[in-house]
Amino acid sequence: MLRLHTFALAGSLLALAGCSSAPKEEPLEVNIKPLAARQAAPNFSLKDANGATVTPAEYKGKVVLLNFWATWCVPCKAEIPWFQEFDAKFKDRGFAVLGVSLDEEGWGVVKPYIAERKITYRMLIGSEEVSTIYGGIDSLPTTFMIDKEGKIAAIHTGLVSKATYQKEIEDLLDAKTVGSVVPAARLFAELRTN
Amino acid sequence: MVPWFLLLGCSLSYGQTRAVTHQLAQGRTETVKAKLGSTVEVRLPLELRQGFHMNSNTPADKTLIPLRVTWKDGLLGATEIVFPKPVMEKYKFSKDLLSVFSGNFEVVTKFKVAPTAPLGPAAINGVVRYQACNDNGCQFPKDLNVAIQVMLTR
Repeated sequence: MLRLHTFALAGSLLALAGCSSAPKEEPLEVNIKPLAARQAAPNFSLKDANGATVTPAEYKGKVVLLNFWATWCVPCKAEIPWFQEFDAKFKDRGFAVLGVSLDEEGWGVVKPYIAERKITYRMLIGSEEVSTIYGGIDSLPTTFMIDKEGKIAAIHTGLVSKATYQKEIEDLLDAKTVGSVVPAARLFAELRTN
Repeated sequence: MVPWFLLLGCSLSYGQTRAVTHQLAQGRTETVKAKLGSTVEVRLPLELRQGFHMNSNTPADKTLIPLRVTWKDGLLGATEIVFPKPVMEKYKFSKDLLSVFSGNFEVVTKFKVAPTAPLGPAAINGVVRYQACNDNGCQFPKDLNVAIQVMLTR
């Protein structure tokens, strides 16, 4: 009987060892800041591929993945299909991806790159000023997760896993909108003036 | 004593208005003796910070920024630049092998010395344009100023 148990235990251990040799999933590095620690995403005004001016203010109420990248950055290239997928998957829930290229050559290299890879999310050309107000970006990719209030909820410098981004997007989309309740005093003041 | 990789370069690339921290440095270079009118081979030792790699002079993908060495015109004119054989490496962020350099390596340049150049000490000045990455992310393309001392003789 004891021998039978020993065999069963050995079998279980072997099975476990087999499981551990299976391909490992990328680790989750979810790092969303508490609400009180979040600061407003710095404002900017940049042009998209169609020449339209884009400001973060127009995305208020949405969760935004703001990705600084460049065509020469190989890790950035790895993330693009993920962002495409997220943009399509979560668009209807109030999510958007904004890509900000920091290529020196601007649209001349970015437009062909977008066309070749059929990138559908909104792309902008960055500037030294925008890089500076976002903390002086000195390596790529650098990605900011911006909550519905327009505040920076997480910053990722370098490549992180697709699962990390997805978890952060879902958590931010599921979060209650903190500032959506108008304080009573302000509401009464507005009623009095009307 | 300041670590070499924290030395701030004078030449700037993207972000021309701010100082750049280089991942690449010129290695120790001896003064080169060169006869007027001759062709001389000059070795430029380069040292890339540990943990980083840079695109070789012949990256496979046209979007990648190749290593470039440019010599300024002077008493010695560059006639040929020979890069070492690149290493094909696999990184976690790419499906394809990348053609890279890492660690310490040398770029060799052949110079033609002007026959009418004045005798004595001179300098060859150049710029190394490189774009370095580590396993996680990439630095902006940077320009490293390099200089080699030459003693011109008859």
